[in-house]
This record gives sequence, C-alpha cells and structure tokens, in this order.
Amino acid sequence: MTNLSSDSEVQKMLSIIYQIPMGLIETDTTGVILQMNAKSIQLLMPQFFSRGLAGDNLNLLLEQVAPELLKTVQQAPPSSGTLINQQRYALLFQGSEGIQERHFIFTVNRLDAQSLMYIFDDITHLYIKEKELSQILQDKAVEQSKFEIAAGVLHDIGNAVVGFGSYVTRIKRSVMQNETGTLEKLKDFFEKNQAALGSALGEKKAAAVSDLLNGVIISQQGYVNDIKSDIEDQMKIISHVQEILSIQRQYVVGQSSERLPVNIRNVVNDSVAMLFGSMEKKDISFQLDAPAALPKLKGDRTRLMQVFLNLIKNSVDAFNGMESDHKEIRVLVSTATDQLLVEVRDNGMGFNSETASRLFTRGFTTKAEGTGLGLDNCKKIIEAHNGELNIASEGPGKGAVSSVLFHL
Amino acid sequence: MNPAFQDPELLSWLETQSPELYDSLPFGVVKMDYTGVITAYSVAQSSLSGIAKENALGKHFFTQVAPCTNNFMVSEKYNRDVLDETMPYMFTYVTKPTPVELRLLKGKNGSQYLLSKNA
Repeated sequence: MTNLSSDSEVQKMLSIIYQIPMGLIETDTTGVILQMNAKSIQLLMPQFFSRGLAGDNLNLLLEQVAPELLKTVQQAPPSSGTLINQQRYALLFQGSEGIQERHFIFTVNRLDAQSLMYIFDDITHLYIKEKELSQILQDKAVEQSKFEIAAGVLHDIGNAVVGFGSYVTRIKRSVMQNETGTLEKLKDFFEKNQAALGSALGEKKAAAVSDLLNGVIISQQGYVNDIKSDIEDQMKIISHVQEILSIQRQYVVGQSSERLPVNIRNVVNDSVAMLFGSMEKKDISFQLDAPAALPKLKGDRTRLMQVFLNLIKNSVDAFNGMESDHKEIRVLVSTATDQLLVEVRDNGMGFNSETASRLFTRGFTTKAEGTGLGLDNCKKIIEAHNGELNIASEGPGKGAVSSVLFHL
Repeated sequence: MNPAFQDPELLSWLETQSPELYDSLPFGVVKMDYTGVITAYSVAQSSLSGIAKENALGKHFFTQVAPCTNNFMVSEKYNRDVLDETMPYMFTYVTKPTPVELRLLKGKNGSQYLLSKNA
C-alpha cells in the first residue's frame, strides 16, 4: 500500500488537478493515456465504451469523433508548444438519449518530445445559448427591417397621396375655369339676333335652336356641378387617407425612441408634405433655404417631427381669415460653430405682446378648435434636445418667426 | 464466508454486515445514502482510487470524490429504483488511469453501493 500522507503538497496539487472541472489528459505520441483527471473520464469514458474501446488510447477515440483534430496534432512539427489553441469541434457523441452532437473546445500542448497534453471541455450549453442569442438578434433585425419597410411604404404612399391630392386640385381648378360662359355668349348672341335669325331660319326653328342652347347650358352646368361635388368628395377622401397615414407613420417611427442622427431637412420636408394640402388650399407658397451640408443632429426623429409639424401648422393657421395675394412660409436653416438654427417665418397675422407672453402657457390657444401638441410640449421637446425655442412677432399683421436653436 | 464480486446475494450481504467487514473484501466498496453521500469507503477502494477513507467519508461521491463517474453511464443510473449492473470503467489512481470493473447496486431501502475491482 502506498503511504497516502507522504508528499502531501504534491498530493494536494494532484487532487486539485484531478478535480479541475475541465478535461485534462496526458498522452504519449501514440495516444496512450499516461494521466487523466476526473472530468476527462466523466466526459470521454462513455464514448470509449460505447465504441468498444478500452479507454487507454485517446487517438483511437479521436480517429472516430474528431479526425481533423487528430490530423492537426499528428502533422504538427515536433518543436511546437501549442498545437491547437481553443479550437471548437462538433463531435457526434453517445448520450443518454442516443447519438447527439456535442460541442467541445480543445487546447493541445506538446509537453516534451514524448508527451502531449489535451485540455478540453464540453461547451454544448454555451453553444446552444450562443445560437439562441444570434437567433434573437436575427429575429430583432427582421422585426426592425419590417418596421423600416412599413415606414418606407407609408412614406411612399404618403407622397403618392400628396401628389394625387395636388393633381385632383388641378382638375378642380380647370373645371372651375371651364365655365359655361362661351355657351352663354352664344345664347346671348342668338337672343340679340332673334329677329335676323328668325327671318333666316323661320321663327320656329330659331326658337328651337335657342331652346336647344338653353338645354345644353343647363345640362352642362349640372355636369360641372356634379364634377365639382365629386372632386370635393375626392379631396375629403384624400385628406382622410393622409390623416390615417400620418397616424400610422408616427406609430411606426415611434417604435424606436433612441437618439439617432436626424437630418433636419428631411424632418422639415416631411412636415411640409403632411401640411401640403392645407397650404395649397390657402394658396400659401413654401420655401426651404438650407445649406447643402447640414450637421447631423442626434435626436428623436418622431418628436422633432411633431415640433416642426406644429410650428409650420401654426404658420399655416396664421393665414386663417386673411386676405393677401402673397402668402408665404419660409424655413431657413443656418449653422454656426456647434449650433444649428431653424427658423419658420410667415407673413401671416402675427400676434400682440399679450399673446406673446402666454404662448408657452400650458393649455393656451388662440384657435377655435383647441389643437395639437401645444407649444409648451414643443418647448420641452426642444429643450430635451439641448435646444431653445422662441416665437416672436413684431405685432398683429406683421407675421411671426419661430426659431429653434440647437446646441450641438 | 465472504461473497464474490458477482455474487447475486451480494446486496443483501452488504445490507446486513457492518461497514468494518467491507475491508475484508478483495474488491472496493463504496456505500452511499440515497443522496450520494458516502457512508462507507473500503480499504480496497482507497487502493484503487488513491483517496483515503477519512477524505471520502461524508462527501458526495459523484461530485466530490469521483466526479469521473458523474455521467449518464454511472451516476445517472442510480436514479432508478433498483439497480444491479456490471460494466467496464476507468478510474485513476490520483491521475494514473486504472481500468476497473464496476458493479452498481441499489436496493429498495435507498442505500446504494458502487463496487469496483481491477479489470
């Protein structure tokens, strides 16, 4: 019997190695196992025995489960230290539920000319987690791209509807111009020259021609009126579609509230696109002056869009009940060092100093139908973007300027 | 009269004898309670494993003393209600591989035994 208490330090070290939760095997160059620890037996012995191997030669097992690994080890030059460094191998292993794919990580070192050290572990559970994680990431990416597609489709449909709306508006105008005036003139001519025509055509025929013309005029007017009311209906449908689209668009974009680079020009253009109908209706011209290269602003696109939509809508509403043949809204974007300034200028009705002092009071409105986001919310959103919002007017009838200054 | 390794009556012999008598057997005996904690560890078992009796008693066999057996081939079989199976296996004397033959025994009263001898 060996004296188990002698060489206690070595014994302790060996028992630590024995207990290391990772397979350790020392073999000679032919694969004969010289030393092995508990974990290596735990992992490999079922594999040896299920293949009818005695369990004393590692190469015999590797030949079957990891031929590539064995090849790499056997072809390595005799001098090298690390032959395989933390390589992963998929092995077909006998398990309690039949043959399973197990994932192992192997490190193989040459200890000296006669012996090799195999260090390995079963990392199947990690492998499965990794796969699950990458599946989750992939699903998320798919989900994200669905949102992007939806947002893109909404944007495209929105633009198409805007185009369609202005097309219908043009039809409406041309119908309005296509007055029955010409026919009326012809009728007048007939009536004035009733006597001459009567003598030329005969009384009855002349009266019949006049009646015919009257009939044509009436039916033409009825026809034009029908078209007008059809167009009115169309316009209502279009603005309804636009409303739905804008709600949908906010919902889709609102999926991410992350701060991402925002192109302020696009935000302004989108806001204008959504207000295009009412601008066109009121005959307001719009102009955007922005330098070609704009610094990217980091922010929440949806919220910024809400702000600019609100500011531009306020300018559109500033022309309510105003008679002017030059209605104009201009958005001016300018940059200075670490600053981005966006001004929305209109030549609408403006406001007095009393209104000015209450603009940012919650719940304050000058509009009949209390509306929108509210300027106090706009101010909060801009301040949350490290910016300032100011709205000024030189007085009633002198237009207004909303200015948003971002500190970059 | 000591029973042989393959004696079909070995389980009832082990159940009725005191653990000191296990030391007289020519093969190793590990007795565990139903949770796997070692209650007896024979001299012959120490000579196969290199683990002294006093370092083994009271420890969990499959995880602390012989983690090499903690797999579906050995430890998982003790989840059965009754067990009597003989198989080749590998122990290490500290870290030197030692081929052995194992006999896994489990009675209805919850005590479980692992017997081993050099193959």
